[in-house]
Amino acid sequence: MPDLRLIRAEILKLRRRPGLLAATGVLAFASAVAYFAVLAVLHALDPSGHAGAGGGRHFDDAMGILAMAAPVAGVLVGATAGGADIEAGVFRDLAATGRSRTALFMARLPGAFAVVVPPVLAAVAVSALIAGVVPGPDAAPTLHDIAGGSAGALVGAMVLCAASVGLAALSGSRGMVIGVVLAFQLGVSPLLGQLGALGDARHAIPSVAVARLDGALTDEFALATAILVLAAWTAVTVGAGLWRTRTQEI
Amino acid sequence: MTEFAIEIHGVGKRFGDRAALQSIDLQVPRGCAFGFLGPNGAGKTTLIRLLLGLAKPTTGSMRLLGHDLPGGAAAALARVGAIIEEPRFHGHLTGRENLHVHAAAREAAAHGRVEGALARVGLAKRAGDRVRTYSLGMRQRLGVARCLLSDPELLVLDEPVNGLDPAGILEFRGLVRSLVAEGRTVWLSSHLLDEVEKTCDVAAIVDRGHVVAQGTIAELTGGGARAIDLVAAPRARAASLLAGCAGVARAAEHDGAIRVELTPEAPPDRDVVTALLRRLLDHGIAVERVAAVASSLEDRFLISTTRLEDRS
Repeated sequence: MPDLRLIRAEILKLRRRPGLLAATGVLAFASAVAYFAVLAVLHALDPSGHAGAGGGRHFDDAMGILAMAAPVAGVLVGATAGGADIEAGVFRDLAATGRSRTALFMARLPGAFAVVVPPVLAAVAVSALIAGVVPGPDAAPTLHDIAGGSAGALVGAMVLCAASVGLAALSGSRGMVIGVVLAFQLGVSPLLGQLGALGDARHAIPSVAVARLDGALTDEFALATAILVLAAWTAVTVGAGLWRTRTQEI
Repeated sequence: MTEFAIEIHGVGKRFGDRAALQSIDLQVPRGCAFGFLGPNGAGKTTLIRLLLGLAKPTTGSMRLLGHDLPGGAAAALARVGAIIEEPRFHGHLTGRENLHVHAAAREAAAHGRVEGALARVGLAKRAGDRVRTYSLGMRQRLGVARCLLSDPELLVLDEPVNGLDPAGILEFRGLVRSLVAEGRTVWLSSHLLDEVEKTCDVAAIVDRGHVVAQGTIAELTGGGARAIDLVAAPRARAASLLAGCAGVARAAEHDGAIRVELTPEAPPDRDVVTALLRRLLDHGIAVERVAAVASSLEDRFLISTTRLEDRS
């Protein structure tokens, strides 16, 4: 059972970083909402050429933007949560309290989620509200559309956040993890996803599995496979970080 | 409750081919200030890390506050406060927030001790400032405050007076003594010999992975080379006469006097001093002053460790 006091301490450490919070807000909230703002401005300038900002299609577009930006926020927050104690030299003092290292490590996951998930949910809620209330080119999104459309952003952010917590604990370096994971997510993964020669092996790429959650690639592989792939990536990276945290001499 | 806060038997630690510690035996009584001395690289911090469960010994056994390690580490460490090497904090958090973050890893009552700990180390007024704005001395004091959150039976302080000004050192000495007066045990690892001599009751000297001396400060400063300074004239003849006396290892002019260094078997007691004086007086040499040269912890440290050998 995660210790609530340890989780609160993790949240405090993250919340006191204004730059990180601002970046998270922009990536996990403002990116989607800004899309509607742009649509509204275009509609106001040219009502006949641009439909209103609402409707299901615009909601899906906003969720597509969020699915790209929110995982980046997840990486920033996760790497900070996973590596900050080690980089600051504080982890040794925490371990010297006799508190289980597993408990110290596991508190970082909900702590990081508590910073990343709320803005993503807020972005989904605000986007759904705008898409539902403001007139658009098509019908307002249904609850099913909203749940399906936002799953990719939410799960993508959480998976990369958890993976970054684990990798930062493994490497002890926040900056390196941010660089490597973002390069993989934004550069390597899209390239690998396009390589037909990889065949079904492409389904093991996290961004491809997330796309499957969003409803794409439905005829290529099963939803359960996508969930398994994401669970495996999370388990391996978090497990590696936990192993390092438990065994390293500090 | 056992008599000792710390019991270490045959503890060794190797890093690859290098032995950082070799068969350390050490007992630290409860309720005292214990000084742990050694040159840089002697293994002081390594032993602290082993005690705090941050690394595993290659050989030997340890008991901390009556609990066998590593099995009883959690119960023992819950009553230990420690500063290892230097106090580290999250610079972007305030002093108070840093203590609450640390308190979260301890029992719930630790949060209630934060304000008292800050007041005790004189940081109450700056507790709301970010730690990145603190001086090294303030961080040291915040480190001590962090130690107090566990209401510790044992405090392990590694070089705690680094960065403190003379007034701060004096204040720190008083703090350590007050902690000991409350029945707590304080382990003070330091290279400042004078500080250990003035603050501690018991000490051990470690060098190249071995404990080379341990005991009360009085025992440590009483052992080893002892000497007597005599002011007599003519000095050269007096020194020559004294050099031939039984129990004298060496007699030579030193700083306007004659320093007579005694062999370890000859304590500088009344019989020895009387014999030296009689020798001089019998040869018509006037003696103006006689004074025993007090041996300091520094003398003992230099004799016990290889520091001087390394430099020669």
